[in-house]
Amino acid sequence: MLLGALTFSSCQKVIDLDLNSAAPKYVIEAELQEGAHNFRVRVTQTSSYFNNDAPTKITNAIITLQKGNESPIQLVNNNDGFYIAANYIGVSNSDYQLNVTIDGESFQAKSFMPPAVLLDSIEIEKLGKGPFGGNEEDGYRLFCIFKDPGMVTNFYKVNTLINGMPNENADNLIVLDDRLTNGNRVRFPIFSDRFKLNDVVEVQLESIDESTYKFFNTLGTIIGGSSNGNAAPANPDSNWSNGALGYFNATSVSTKTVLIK
Amino acid sequence: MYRKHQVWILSIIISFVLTQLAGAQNFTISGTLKDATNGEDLIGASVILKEKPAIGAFTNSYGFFSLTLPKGEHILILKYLGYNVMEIPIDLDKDIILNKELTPESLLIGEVVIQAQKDNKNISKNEMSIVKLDPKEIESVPVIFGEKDVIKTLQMTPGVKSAGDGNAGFYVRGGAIDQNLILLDEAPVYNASHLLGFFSVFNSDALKDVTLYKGSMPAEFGGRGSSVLDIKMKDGNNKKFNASGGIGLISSRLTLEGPLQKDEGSFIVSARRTYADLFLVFSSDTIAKDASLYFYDLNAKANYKLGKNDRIFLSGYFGRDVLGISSFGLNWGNTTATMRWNHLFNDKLFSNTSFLYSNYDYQFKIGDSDNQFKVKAKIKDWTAKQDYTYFPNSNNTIKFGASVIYHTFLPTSLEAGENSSFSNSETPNKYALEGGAYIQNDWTVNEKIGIQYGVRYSLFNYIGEGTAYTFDSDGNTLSSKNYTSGESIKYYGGFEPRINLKYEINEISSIKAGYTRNLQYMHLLSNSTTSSPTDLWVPSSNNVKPQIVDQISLGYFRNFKDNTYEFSFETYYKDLQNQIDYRNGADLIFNEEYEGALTYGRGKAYGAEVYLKKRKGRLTGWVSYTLSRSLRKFEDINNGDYYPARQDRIHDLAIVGLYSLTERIKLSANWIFYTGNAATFPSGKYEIGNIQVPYYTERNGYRFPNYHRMDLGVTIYNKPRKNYESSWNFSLYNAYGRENAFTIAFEENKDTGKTEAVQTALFKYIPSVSYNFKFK
Repeated sequence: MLLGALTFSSCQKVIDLDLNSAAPKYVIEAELQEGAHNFRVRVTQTSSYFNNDAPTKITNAIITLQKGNESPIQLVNNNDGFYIAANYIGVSNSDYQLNVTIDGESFQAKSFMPPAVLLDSIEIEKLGKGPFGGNEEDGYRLFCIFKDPGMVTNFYKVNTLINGMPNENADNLIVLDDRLTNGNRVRFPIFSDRFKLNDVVEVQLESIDESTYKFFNTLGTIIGGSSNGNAAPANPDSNWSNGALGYFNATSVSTKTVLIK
Repeated sequence: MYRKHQVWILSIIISFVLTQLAGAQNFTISGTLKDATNGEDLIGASVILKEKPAIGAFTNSYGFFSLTLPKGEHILILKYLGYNVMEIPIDLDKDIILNKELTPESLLIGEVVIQAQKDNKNISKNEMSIVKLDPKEIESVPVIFGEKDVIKTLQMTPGVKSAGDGNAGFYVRGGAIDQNLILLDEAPVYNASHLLGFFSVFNSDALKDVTLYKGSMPAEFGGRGSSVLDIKMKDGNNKKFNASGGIGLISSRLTLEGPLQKDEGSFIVSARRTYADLFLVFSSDTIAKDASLYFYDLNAKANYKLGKNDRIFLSGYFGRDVLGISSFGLNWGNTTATMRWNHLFNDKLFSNTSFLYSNYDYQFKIGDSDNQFKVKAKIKDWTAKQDYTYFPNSNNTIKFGASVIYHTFLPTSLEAGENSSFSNSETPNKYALEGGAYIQNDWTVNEKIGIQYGVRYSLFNYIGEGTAYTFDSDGNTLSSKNYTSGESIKYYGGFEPRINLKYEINEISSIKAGYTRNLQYMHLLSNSTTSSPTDLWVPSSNNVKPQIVDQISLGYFRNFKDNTYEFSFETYYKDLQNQIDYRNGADLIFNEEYEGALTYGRGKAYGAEVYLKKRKGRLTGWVSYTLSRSLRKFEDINNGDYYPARQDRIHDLAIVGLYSLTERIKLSANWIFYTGNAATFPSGKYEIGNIQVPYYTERNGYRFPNYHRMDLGVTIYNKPRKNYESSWNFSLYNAYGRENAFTIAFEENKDTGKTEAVQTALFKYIPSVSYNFKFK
């Protein structure tokens, strides 16, 4: 935005670049929620950067989930790159470990499921046109309001669903820590140019552990053009061992739904 | 063991100095050289013995020289580039004082000047790896927005690279931006850019002398690893009052100068303000209409002679940038102040005492009233400095002195409004003392050989009040310890040897070699690739070790066609220790424990520089070519292998031409070419949810497209009138509209969902016009 003010003569164009194709790496995504849910793990592979096919699915993984020192359970292979534990009940304040074996190579990730921090309310604010309002004449901004527990260090991830559809793209990835807000009543703004009049918006406040926070925080620095002018980009910090990409997030979620009017 | 070695070097140097002091009994000629039209001191002017040109002296920063010669009749030649040569016959039978004023060569443009005397200072002077700019000389070099800028002209000389298109940040011989010591009248300037780097803080109207040491820096300078940019402000006209200035598209300048008392003292005040934001009023965008975007700066200086042997100087700089959009506001700026006292103990011992102040701060705020939060950061220096120059005889010039700096750092602090979600976060100040002492001799061994040798001892003491932290290998805080005010937390010190050798093959060619060590105790932490106002200066501490930079250089210098052409070829190798980078996802601001986010490594830089300059005639200008590499190695980056630093540009070429078409029309053109910056591009991608994520392998393993552009300019001097001179300057930056990549973003096209590489280019055809005037 700062540069935007200066670049009255700037021009953008899509360019052709000759990029190397790195040896494929496994990508493992897993989010385990508190309460009874279908726990799903997706396993894919990296591809070359300009390849626009769907990512290659890995269908021969063996995946087990272990809570604390209890005996592990094996996830069911759905043969489409997804592995499922149906109606698995996640319990907060617990450590979870996920083990993945693919062609004899094994990968582990651990995640702690923190207790939920409850969303207090959602405020809606109508915006004029401008730098924070997007390009729409009548954009909206939401505030999610919650009380951060003072005694512990908290990390959050905020998701929104618009009319039931995940509002998920590079611009809407939000993670927070409480380094500057510990113990405060937090009023956090959610900017999105997608909020419109009469939309039903569901806001999810996920309490996450530090390793998940680090993953999404470092992910945020390299996607969506935000790398402009930043120092050398690097891959996000993953909690997977053995060089796998992705994350394992054990989380407790608090949800509120509002109608924009 | 190591320390013993250093003491040994020091004792050799001292004994050298002492043996050379025992000379025959002679008489001393001392005095000052000035410009006859305005009384400005001439820096680096030469006073040479006609019968034996190898014997002579150069004026120092205050125009002072001292030359000791045997009794008898001599003819002295006084000369300075661009001035008429003066010959003074003297009959030396006692110490004499010689204060002279030189007249500039005919001011008419384009007249071919026949120089009676050889002018081969670049060959004969015992200095290398140096670039000197005369702000007058660069006046007509075309630059972006028509704002002449000494730093942008320096970027077109060998070994100096710009930080980006139109950017005033610079890299010297593969070093980082924070390894440049930038001095304005001796006071350090911590952030030398305006408008996010597109202008430097140096208003050329107020400058007299610009010298960049890329290596072989004299022992009096210390504190940064790669270079010293020594900028001196004008003293002001001590003959008569005059006003000059310029009106341009985005800024205007006004300078007033005149005598405080004729020939005894003078003042100068120079101001500049941009008004880019005035155009925003015409914008259709309501937000832009209310935005503010400008900078201003003010240079002021006064000097006064107190009797025959004393002179005092007061100078100051004050500049500020203001940027405001809607409820967002950012402003930053530097303030420096210099008080100097020149004292002549006798005709052989010159002393200068300086007290310096420097402050850089920034603040930004977001939101209104109760919801507002403000962020502030600051660095402040107080310096006391004592320098002596001793001229024992015509073959030696000895400089020695000491300095001490008291640093105060306020890394970043957060002030939150009542209703804001944020807590106040007062990051405590940090304090440090930095000291240095040096001795150096410039010894003319004989007509061919010159040796400049010296040593500097520098020290740095990180002191309380403060908290020192220790970290584990992953950067997690292990322990913390509190220190009381003034208590030493960590002490560093070390010797910095400097040596430079010259062998003059003949009058038109010489070979020079040098070795320097520089210790750097202050470091700039920056998350961005170009200079940004929010970059953070931090001290060396129990975790952050001083940077150590050793450099050797070797050069061949040759002049052609009666010194019309100057040619030089220099090579260098630089070893950099204790370099700093960040861990992935480093949080640098509001983070008292930021040291945990740092990682340390080493680097090397090497290269060859070719420079050919045509100094005289209707066509003047230069060609500059640099072939170089700059590499870094960090244990936890790039698998611990060497990788190119961002500023690693293999080829760098600049051609600058100035042509006097008629007496009053001057044309100019530049062409710049360099290898694209080293950059980290993805070698693959993957999906997280629906988000396309680039996958990176090696650090800086790719290159931006090559950079090139041409700039054109024309200056038309109006017919001078008795009391008024004026000129028009038209320029076109990037004349053939090359779209040079400023950033390349790897992102998902929001409409097609395909991943693509998007290049942003900043400046394409920037025309500008300015009108310059002078009342006299």
